[in-house]
Amino acid sequence: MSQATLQSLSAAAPEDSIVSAELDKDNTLVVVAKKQHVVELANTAKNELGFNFPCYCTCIDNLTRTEGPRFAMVYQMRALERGETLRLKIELEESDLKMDTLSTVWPAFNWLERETFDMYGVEFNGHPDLRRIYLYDEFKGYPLRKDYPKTKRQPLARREWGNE
Amino acid sequence: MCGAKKRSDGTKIMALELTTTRLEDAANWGRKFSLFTYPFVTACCGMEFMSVAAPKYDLARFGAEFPRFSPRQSDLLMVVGTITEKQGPALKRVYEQMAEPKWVIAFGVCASTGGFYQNYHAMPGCDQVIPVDVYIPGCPPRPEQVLDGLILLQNKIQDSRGHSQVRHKREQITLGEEQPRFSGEAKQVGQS
Repeated sequence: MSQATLQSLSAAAPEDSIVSAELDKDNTLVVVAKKQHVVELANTAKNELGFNFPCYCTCIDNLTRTEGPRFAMVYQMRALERGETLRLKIELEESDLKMDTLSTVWPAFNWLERETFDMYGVEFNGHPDLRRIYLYDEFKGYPLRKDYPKTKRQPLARREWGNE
Repeated sequence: MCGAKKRSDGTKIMALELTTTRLEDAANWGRKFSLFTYPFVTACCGMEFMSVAAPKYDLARFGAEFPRFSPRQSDLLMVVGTITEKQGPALKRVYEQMAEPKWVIAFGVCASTGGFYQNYHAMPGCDQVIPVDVYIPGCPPRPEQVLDGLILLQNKIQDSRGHSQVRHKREQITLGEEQPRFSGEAKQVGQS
């Protein structure tokens, strides 16, 4: 069943928008997309192929990777009527860590993209409200990047020892 | 204490009619059995706090009867659970709103040291922000440990000097030179 979806996605996708598309061992449709056409591809997946349920989105930091971009955004969607899963990956260079938001296609990604921005520093063009969601505004850096020091702390309040 | 008196018909009055003590001892005795707790509950230790407060272990037996959810009405701040860096200012503010005299118990390892969180978001112990009187380890602590910690705090309150027990005076006394307490030794001198 997913094989048919794979073929129809490849056929319906805008030209030159897909790097690779395959089924993994869990029968999940894994599509690596180019970031230039990602919104059109997402619209196709939602409107023509019925991937109507956004599951999650996050970022992968391949710090030790020797070739290829360091970061990859991952979006996962379900087609509830057919019970199929689509995983959309977009590889991002560290020097250009920006992509178009998919929260316009699936509004549920709004807060998840904010979390990804909070933790990894990925910027989403066209996002309606891109600010930190968990951490405080004073926080510097992006703590879930692999090169963020594990024990580094950025306190908001400390007491003056021996002065109370 | 006066000895047993006799009524007009010659029977003895056995009850205590009069007792003498020191002002600080009386005040501290009253305080240690009437601790009103403010539970600053942030995490899973809260379950254990409920267990301690509920009838089976019954914190009320020790006078810490009433969880007050206003810092102005409480004198024991129980920090129960992980404190994140983002919560630091809120915790400090709650503590500052409590009226003196006030005490703090760090309930569980997260509140005491940060526990197993060694990362960007967790505060390494709530004593980074407010002074703590008693640390209760455990993840989470057994109710018996909590009661033991409460008894430790009661002993600390009873043994504190001065009847005001404002914190900075208290710490000055604790940190400063050890002053001999008017206690058993002096009594022996008086009796001999």
